[in-house]
Amino acid sequence: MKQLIALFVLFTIGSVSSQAYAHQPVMDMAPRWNGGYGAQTRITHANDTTTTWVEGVYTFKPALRMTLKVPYSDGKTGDAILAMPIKRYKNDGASTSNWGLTPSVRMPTGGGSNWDAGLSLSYSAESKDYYQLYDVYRLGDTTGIDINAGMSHADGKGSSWFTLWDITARDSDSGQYLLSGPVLVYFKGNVIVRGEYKFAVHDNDKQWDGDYLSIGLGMVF
Amino acid sequence: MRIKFLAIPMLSVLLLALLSLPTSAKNYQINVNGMVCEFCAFGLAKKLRKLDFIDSAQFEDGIKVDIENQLVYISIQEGQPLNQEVIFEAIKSGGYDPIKMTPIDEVASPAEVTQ
Repeated sequence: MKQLIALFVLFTIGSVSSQAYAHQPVMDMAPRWNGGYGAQTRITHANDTTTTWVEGVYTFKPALRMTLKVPYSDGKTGDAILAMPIKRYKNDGASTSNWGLTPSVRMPTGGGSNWDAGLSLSYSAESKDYYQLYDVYRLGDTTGIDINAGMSHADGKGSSWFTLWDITARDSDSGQYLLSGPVLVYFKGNVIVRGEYKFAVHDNDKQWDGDYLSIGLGMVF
Repeated sequence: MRIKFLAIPMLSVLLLALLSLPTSAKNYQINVNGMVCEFCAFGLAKKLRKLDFIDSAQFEDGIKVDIENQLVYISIQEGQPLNQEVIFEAIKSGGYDPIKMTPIDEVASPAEVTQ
């Protein structure tokens, strides 16, 4: 029953929904437990455009999740991305890692008529001291590589910080760009806050102009 | 007749004494592979707290996690049988791998754990 409710919520969000390049699981780190679910809102600013993303995740079991991301910008909803991350975890004594394969579909909820299929291959690993994520994907006409790597700092009382460095590379019909910059992630209880700033290292994309800023707030249950 | 007369209260006393003995240790330490972040611990503790034999008066609602050493401390209600299989299954459904479960008295004093 809980699974049905969560799916209903995800599809309800999708039904009330530009360009979208978010492809990863809503939260790579959580929820990892059977029946876990969560939602987050991210506000991104790039190319003089502010976009609000509403994102939901449901974890059927640690190896299988469903995610939905819906963008909202300039008073209208964009194309939603529905994905199903399939993960294979490996738990060692003081570290945990996983390989992920994520088929996705971008739906024309923004008013167009094109459906785009996508596929992502990712690897992430973390210990109490470090975190790293590598992801390569293809969605529509875009090929992308994302890397997040850095340190984690837990206080042993239920909260932790991640200070990461991000590298984002994109290649599409409109050109290529490479962005890089710091990422801060904070966990407390079931709340996650994530902030990112990226600047262009290389840019010959006709649709790209400027820096990238993202602030997100999410909760898992 | 006299033996029968004495046997009944003696057996009763013996039975009461047996019942008063602890059937198992109350607090346990579990080694959990991969439990290295606070969010890992959140999901795992959430699963364990749902078990109806957890003594929520102990630790933090019956559970305490130590991500530094990948340990979970769990408190079982008095008189409840220890069901290791159910506990391990809850940890697995949280996404992590339990390795072994040890009575706390064998590895540390409860006071040390609750500090």
